[in-house]
Amino acid sequence: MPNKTGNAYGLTVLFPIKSGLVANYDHKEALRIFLADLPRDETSPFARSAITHFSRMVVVEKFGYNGEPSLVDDLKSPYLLWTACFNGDLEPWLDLIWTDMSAELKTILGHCVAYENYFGQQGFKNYVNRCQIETSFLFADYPDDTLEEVLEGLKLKKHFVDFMVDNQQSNAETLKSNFMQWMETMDNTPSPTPGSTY
Amino acid sequence: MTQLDMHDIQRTIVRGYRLPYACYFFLNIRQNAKGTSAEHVAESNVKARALVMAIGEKVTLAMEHWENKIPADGATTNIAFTYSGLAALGVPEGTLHEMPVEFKQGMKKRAALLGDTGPSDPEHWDEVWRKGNVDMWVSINGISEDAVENRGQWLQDLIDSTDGCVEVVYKQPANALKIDGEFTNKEHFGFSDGIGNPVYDGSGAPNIPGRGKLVDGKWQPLATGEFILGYPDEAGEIPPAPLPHVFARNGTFMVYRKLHQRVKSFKNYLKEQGELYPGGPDLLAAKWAGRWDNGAPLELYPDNKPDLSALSKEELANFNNFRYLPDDADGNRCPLGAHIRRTNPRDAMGFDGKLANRRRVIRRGLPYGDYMPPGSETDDKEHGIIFMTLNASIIRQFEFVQQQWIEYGNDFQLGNDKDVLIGNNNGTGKAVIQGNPPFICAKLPHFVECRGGDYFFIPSMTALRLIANQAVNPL
Repeated sequence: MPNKTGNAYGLTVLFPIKSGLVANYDHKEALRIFLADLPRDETSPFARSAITHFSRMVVVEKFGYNGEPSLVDDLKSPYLLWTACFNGDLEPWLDLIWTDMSAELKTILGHCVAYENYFGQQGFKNYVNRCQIETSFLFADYPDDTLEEVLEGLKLKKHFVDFMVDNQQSNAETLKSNFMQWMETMDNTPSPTPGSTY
Repeated sequence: MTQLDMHDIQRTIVRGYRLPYACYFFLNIRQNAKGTSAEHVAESNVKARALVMAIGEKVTLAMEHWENKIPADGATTNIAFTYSGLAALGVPEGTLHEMPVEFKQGMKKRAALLGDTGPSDPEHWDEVWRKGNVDMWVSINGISEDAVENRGQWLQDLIDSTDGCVEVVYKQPANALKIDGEFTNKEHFGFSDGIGNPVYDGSGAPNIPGRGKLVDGKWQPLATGEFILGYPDEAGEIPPAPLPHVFARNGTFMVYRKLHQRVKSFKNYLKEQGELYPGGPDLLAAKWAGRWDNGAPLELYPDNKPDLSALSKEELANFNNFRYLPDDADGNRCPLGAHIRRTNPRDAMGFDGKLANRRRVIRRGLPYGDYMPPGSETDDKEHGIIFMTLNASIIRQFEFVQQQWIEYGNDFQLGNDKDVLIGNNNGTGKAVIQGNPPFICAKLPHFVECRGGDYFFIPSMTALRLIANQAVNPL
């Protein structure tokens, strides 16, 4: 299935952007300004739940090829490109994303053609389905693990290296007792938050 | 096979000298030496260009390099320019404008990208590099101190004749380390150095296995354009270079770095960790480097350091003839993060080594400072290595290796672990020596500090004359 590798889903959507002006900008510029102001760290709306490995929105206009002969593909309109990678199937992920960030999504998609004809959560999903294109060549860093598993794994890796360094010279008995203690500590150590650097 | 014009190419690009003594002169062109009016600046410019022409008379060329001929007076000379030097010599804007951005910026402005932070931060560099007024590099290598001294005096006389329009701002002596009265190829940490230089098409070097690229499982010379401008590179393209074509052709870019070695810290850490490591300090040092201190590679000699005197000529010539795959994918012989595996991963990342072919650099240079016998090592005196690399693209070759492979480990599945020997470890670094069980070196100090340097353009003889005659025309 070209949108999936392992258990990872690679979403690609191209939403056509409206022509015309909104306040002093055209929709494309207004959208760019809004997107540029969204945080890109753990306060990103995409990081509100630990469900998304990666998500990006970018406005695309023309595609130029600067060879010989040079070519510029003129699109029918500018598009909002949305790519995301997560685990599982599309529909439940869209449900969660809508729950997490419907306010931002309404603003963003409000700049896109005919979104006003789609209502609420089901409308959002229908709109995404309408504009989705096949990802076709998907590379997923974590094809089988959920984001929560990856974050927990990062935590364990970091702390386990420290444990190894501290216990390289320990005898079997000490090693075992230290390991049990370490396991207990890990149980009480939270995973890093989505979107943070760890 | 590519035929190189050996009468046009400076020898340092084609083959190292392997002479025991060197001195690197750094020159500043004083455009306002006579005054700030246009006439005065023009007068300075004429004198500076006359100096370039005069130095050009003695530049050592690549011809007959393979017979390793050295001029009768036992000294050699090569010349290169920084961006500011080319500008001060009157190379037109149209040509300068097309120079690569990293060359224009110079090494100081690239410090963050290169990991030159903390003790390697430019604010701690030697004064000459902090000031950033180096326009020209003139290198002299020689068979003796006298030979270097005499050639240096010749250079100084030429500079004096510019009437203050060019001045020497720094002189960097360098020499092969003399141990027990014999010159060696050792650096201060004790490793034999300068073993794995790449072989490229047209250089005239025999195709020594392991020093080129893998093609269908066999070693072939790399494309000339990886190291010399004006020839096709590994992408089949002529490397980007400024116009006119003749200005860049047969030239290349050089990175010059003065790398101070904290020898005492290195030896202490090795002793401390070597006592914990089951294989002992000699094997641990080899694991950090990827070679035993005598140069023998771990891939071929994984368990015991061979006695070089017991090896045949063929065995000695085979010190580069190895691959990492398929037998050492896990790094049990040569660790995944060993210095030579990082700086030249060969086929370690798969694809028959194609991911390494565009990241190769030619190493030149010599140590500076005197050999310190065991027990007398210090961190503080002037000792280290003058590290020079040659490549067609500083950003794609040297800077990539430095940033991604020395100061980072993700390509080798090592997270953000850095190179043990030259990485900017700050007491918190770690390195994993693969094995069963693996051994982790933790709280890695930094052993090497950058003390300055810059990016240079080494011109062909044709380009040197064009510069000296102010005849560069980008149109």
